[in-house]
Amino acid sequence: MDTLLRDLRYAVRGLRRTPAFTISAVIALALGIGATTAIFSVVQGVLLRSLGYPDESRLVWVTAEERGLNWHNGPLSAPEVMDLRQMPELEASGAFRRKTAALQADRAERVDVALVSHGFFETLQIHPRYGRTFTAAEDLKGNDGVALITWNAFRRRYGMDPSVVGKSVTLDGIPRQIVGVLPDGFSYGGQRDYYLPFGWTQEDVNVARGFRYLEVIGRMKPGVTLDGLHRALKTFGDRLIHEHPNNYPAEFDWALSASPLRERFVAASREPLVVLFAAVLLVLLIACANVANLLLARAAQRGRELAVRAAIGAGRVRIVRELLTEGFVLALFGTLLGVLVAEWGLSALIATAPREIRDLASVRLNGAVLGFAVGLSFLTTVAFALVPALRASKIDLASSLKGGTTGAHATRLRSLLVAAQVAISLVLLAGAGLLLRSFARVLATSPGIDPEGAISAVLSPAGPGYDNDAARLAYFQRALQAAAAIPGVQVAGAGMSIPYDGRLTEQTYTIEGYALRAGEPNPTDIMRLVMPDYFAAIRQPILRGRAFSAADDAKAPRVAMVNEAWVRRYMPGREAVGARIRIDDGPEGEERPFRTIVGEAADTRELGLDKPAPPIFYLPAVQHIAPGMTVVVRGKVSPSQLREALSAVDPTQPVDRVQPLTATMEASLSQRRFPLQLLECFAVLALLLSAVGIYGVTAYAVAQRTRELGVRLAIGATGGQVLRLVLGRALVLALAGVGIGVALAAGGARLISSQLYGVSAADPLTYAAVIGLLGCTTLLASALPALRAARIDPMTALRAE
Amino acid sequence: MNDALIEMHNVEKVFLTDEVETHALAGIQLTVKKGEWVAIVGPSGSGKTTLLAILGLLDTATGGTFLIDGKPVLDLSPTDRAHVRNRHIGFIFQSFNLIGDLTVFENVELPLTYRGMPAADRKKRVEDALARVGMSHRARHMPGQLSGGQQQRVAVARAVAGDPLILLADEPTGNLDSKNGQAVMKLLSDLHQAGSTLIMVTHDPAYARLATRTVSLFDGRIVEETGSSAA
Repeated sequence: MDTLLRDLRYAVRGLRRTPAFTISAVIALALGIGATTAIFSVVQGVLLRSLGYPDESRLVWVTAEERGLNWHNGPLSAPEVMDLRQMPELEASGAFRRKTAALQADRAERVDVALVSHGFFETLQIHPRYGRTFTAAEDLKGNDGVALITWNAFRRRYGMDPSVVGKSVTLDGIPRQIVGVLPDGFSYGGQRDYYLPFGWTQEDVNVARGFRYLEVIGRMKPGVTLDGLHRALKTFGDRLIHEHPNNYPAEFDWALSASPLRERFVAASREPLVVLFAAVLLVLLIACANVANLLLARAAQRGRELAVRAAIGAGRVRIVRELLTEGFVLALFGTLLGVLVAEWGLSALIATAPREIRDLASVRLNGAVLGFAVGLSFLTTVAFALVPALRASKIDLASSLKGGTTGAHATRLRSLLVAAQVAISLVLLAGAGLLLRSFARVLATSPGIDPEGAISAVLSPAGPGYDNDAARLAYFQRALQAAAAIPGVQVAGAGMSIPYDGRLTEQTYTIEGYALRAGEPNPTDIMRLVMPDYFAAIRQPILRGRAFSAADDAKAPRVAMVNEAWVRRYMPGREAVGARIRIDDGPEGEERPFRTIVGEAADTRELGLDKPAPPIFYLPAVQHIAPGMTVVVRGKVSPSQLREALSAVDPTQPVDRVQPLTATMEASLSQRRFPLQLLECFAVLALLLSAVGIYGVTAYAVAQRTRELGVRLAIGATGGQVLRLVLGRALVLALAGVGIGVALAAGGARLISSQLYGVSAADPLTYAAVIGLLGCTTLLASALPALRAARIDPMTALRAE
Repeated sequence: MNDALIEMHNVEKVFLTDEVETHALAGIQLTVKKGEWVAIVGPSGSGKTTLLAILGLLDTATGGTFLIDGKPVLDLSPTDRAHVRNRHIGFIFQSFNLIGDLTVFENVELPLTYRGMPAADRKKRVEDALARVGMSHRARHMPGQLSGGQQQRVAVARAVAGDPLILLADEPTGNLDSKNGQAVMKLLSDLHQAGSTLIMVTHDPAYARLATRTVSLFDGRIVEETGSSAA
């Protein structure tokens, strides 16, 4: 212990005497460890952390697939949920659906809620902190006037008063009795305040077998394996098909499937996070190489001191231990600063991450992450300090004590490390470059609308006053009038959803005269219900025919519109205006009229700017009433003006997501922007660290060669020749790194090929730009030492021994 | 009873550089007895420093036999060589070679810490050594705060603190002015009087005459020995 403390004391003292070295090394390590720890926090929080439910390995996500439509991981209907309860392999099962509701308190507020069936909490084995969960009877309409509140709502809205159980809360205009408080820490797919029963009608649970919208989870009985459950679900699904042939057309090839519940949450995030984690590990590797390089230079400077230590009896192990202790002290400071960097980085990360990264807001530096940081610190110390320590401990005593220089081995190793840094930087820069070029291509793609100068707001009227189509339609019409009346508004329109807001409704329908191939089901496409001036408000061009007008009211002939992709798909080379379609659902006995297509709108890339425009058909909202509408106004108007005007229509109804259309577009790009931004950060970091490495090696080489350079100058070399000599050596070093890096990047780019758009993984322009950038960086980083070399005073250099 | 501390028979050192063999030392026969003070002299390039490096186990001979206190040392592992250097050899270098990050006390203490000596024993030994060279009052100073002569006295203290069998001094006055040089030589003389065995490389004939025996090297060979080999 005495020895350890003394080694630590000497190490700290030695580092204090060389502040430039210490600060450089600690910063490099802090950046590497900090960035890695921040990304690991996300990986741990999203991919590795337990979901927080007891006996998680028995939880499954039950989905439907229609292999005939190449459709997987789909939802189930309420009758299917009821059927599933009979499966002996499942101990419990339950359904879930997220939605929002208007909370009528002091002022109308839209809150996140979830609808869940009886069995949902039993499946997760979540027991309420106070009160109870839902009974089977409460699944049904009439008994559903109950609610569970989350711990978050209990704390924030109810002052943690247990007597809240039994009190009433009004959501969507319906008073509900709070029957329980869910425990602290419970969440399922995000934070929300209330859990409500579905309130199904008898028709919902007995008849609406084709209305699939439910996320279903189950808990396998002990001893049941996933394979066993798959077999049971196959048999069970076949029985349903046999019993209800009309609901499961053979051409759909419908089947039930199950996967571990974890997949439900992490599948979409896994690939980008793994790529980012790999990228940040490369940054850490560069940081380690940098510090190793600094330590090698330092060991070279300390050659005589180490030789003295060896001469007076320090064995190799002892010297290695002393140098490693110094490495550990550096790592300790690097880790402390790195944790701060990670904390800051994580905040920035959460602020820019897409919502799809599940529960990201709850990702934070915890014990496991800090443990990772410490472990990482230990590993990096071994990585960056061991090789220099081992090398420095192999001392040529006789030469070193006379003040001899270190051998060519150390110089070669340092050069190799710099070449490796350049190579790794090239991999990261190429990755970032390819994503950047893809992103530029995406941005250059026409969205089909003009988001500039338009603002949108979401209306979802709920409550007793809005439980019929007429009331909702009247509300939407009043809201639209109020929006149009705002001073400065040029045009106001509304649609059930708008392009790029991520809310798409699909509908199966019939196209008159469209010949289906054998076994081909009726088409299912995106349906959008819109009000007059919708197309003008978002500036979606009408290419043929006309847009809907006020004349297309409930009494007018039924009409529809389609987009270009629809025409390409179903009527290529033909005139769509005048063709007819028919919506195939609706209550039994109700008339299902054909609707005449009156116009063709330009394409919008609803599935993402980097994806082809999907076929869409539009219906007038007055002829097919929507549950909610997004109002869009164009003109010189602020979001607060729009909110105020719409709130005034009915102060009991919340007005949500009031934002410029450009923000909606931005949000739709976040999935692509997020990894790009991070990879850009990592690439810039890598470039900076490499620049420091190149500078360090060049400066050290110049210092080592001062006498030689002095001789060159003395015998007639010009400053320019010496400058070129030094720069040339640095460029050769960088070139070696580029050679290795291009080979590595070519392999690494395949990892991100799924995220590339309009750019090949071997895009020569990107590689040329990256190589040029690295060349410039090398020249800049080595310019200072090269200039210093060119200005060496030959006499001083020759006198220096 | 054989009281030879150092015995060298036919020791040679050959450097290989780009297929060229350079014989730095050849056929060295040297015996040093306990209590002797041997001066090694010779012109530049004669092999003085190479011989001293081999004597101090800083370098290895390429041929011959070499015994310290009756034990062969040429084939020792690096760890064992470090062990011998730590316990049996004390070094005094021309350029002092004190460690700038450590205080005077810590510099002198360093070989004892490598020996694993308990702290209390170390403290006593360091204080004794510093007292012998008259540097007790500078124990908390850093080497950079000392004059050249003072630094060399600290280096001597470090060399003797571990009570080694042999003291090796490589041009101990080479970096000092004449006054400080004489003071250091007086110190070495006192150590010899107190029973220490010294081997010293020097250019200066006046200092060489202080030794009990002088070994002259030329082109890597011992060409002359003067003085008595008796202690």
